[in-house]
Amino acid sequence: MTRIIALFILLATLPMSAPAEGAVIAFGYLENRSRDRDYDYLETIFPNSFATSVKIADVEVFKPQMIDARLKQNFNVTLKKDYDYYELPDIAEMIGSDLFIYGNFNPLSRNRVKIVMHIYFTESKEVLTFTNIGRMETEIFRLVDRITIMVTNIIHKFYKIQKIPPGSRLAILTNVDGEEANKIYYAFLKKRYRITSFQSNDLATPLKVRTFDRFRYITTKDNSYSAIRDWRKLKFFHGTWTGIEYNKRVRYLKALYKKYDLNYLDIKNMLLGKLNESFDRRIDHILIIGFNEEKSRAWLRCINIRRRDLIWIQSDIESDTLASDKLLNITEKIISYMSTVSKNLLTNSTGER
Amino acid sequence: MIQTTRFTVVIILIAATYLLSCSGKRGIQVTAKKIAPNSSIAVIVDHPNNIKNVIVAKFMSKGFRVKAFNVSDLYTLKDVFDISDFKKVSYNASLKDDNSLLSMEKTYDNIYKLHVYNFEINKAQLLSEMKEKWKVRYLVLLDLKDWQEISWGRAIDLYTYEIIWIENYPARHSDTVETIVDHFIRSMSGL
Repeated sequence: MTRIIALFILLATLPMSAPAEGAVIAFGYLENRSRDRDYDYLETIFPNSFATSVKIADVEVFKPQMIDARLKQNFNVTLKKDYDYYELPDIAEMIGSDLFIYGNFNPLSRNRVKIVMHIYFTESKEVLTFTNIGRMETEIFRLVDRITIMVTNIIHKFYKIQKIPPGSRLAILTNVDGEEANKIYYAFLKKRYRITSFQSNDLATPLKVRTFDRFRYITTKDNSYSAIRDWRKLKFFHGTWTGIEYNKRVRYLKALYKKYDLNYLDIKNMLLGKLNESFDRRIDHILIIGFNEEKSRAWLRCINIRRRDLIWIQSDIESDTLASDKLLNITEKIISYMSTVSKNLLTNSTGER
Repeated sequence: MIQTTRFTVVIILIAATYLLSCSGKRGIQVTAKKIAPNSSIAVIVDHPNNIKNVIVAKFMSKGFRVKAFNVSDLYTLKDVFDISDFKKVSYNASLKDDNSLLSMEKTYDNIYKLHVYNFEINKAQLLSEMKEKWKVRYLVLLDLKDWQEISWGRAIDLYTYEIIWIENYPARHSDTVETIVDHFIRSMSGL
């Protein structure tokens, strides 16, 4: 009962609007990635439990068996246990879902379990992947409860697995500068956060709204938030007719792709390490805040620089209608979220990693 | 009677609009740590040399040891590496576009993000150099504006790399460059 009340309070305090009325959330399988077939029964039990637990008003929830039956009947297709990202738009369209959730689990030593969840947002064609390592509780449904809270939050595009207490050292990267950037620093300093000289040592920033939007998508080892692209749509023309210059350009692009796409995570982690060293290890978190042109709305991403992990995603943070200073109002809202993380999520993520 | 009520409503609306627009321009100030007058500082401003001289002279007259440092020394992100060159290898590959080719767009985005991180690393190394070689303790950034606009300042302790002072100051009609700089010096040092 306490947990239900806690979930209710958490949902009530969320700043996001709930999924649209009549939205459909589809749960696929949670694939057993261990070699132990004894765990196979959980492939369906997990998603069924999530589906039962995620109860949001006016939202329809589909369970795996139901989806599989529909796919077979209407498209002669079977619901798979795993999907490549590029397959998600098609399968979500066939299911007719606004969100498609699937994943995998792997029992680990010392009675722990690693659960990886992928949440695909049909409208924006974005995928959020998060990893959770927790105890394989004696009562398995306690684990389900914890993941359910995370899923419910993520459905609202709110994902936060770590509390950031006052006194933390923050490196803030944003698309505002000058007096507006000062307002952000002001609000954080007033609440006793320490602001590292990151970007703030410039008089102006060239990072503007459109270009800065690239930081919406973050890739880290365990958690990532990305937009889907379909490589099958590439038309790559090549043949005996291609000349030296053409081939040279292809090699150049290939090298570029290999380095900055395939090996992006390694390079980025190396750079984050170097970044922290350059600041004498005086950064705890990188806070990336993107504002719209009117400064009435913002999105946020946060990286724990030591763990090199994405720990906080939040979108559509809106200023109050009557706020005299919208930017300051949004910053104060962000600060209030920093210090009020659900305890359920806290115990879940920090202790077990 | 109705006319009077309408008039009152209009007056209230005008007043509310005025107050809202003014409140966006209110001053803010935080001093986490005061800067002692004999401290070694570097002042970064982007103004003509005559204004720059006035600002530096003000700090010197208050006993600060001001290191020669030009705003152009702190190069901009755009100068370091014009990343827009890479755009030519980028095509729009979002699934939102039905006719999309494919794309180096994600690769380009990744390079852009790495570039931003790298730029911050370069600046951190420059700040470290200022501290080690030139013995600068505090970096002070100032941007002075005309009347009815907000002048702002910011100070960074190069020992901790932390912001220790910020202020947004709405300039008054009677303010000059000297009075604004005096105000900022008082604010950051308590003098």
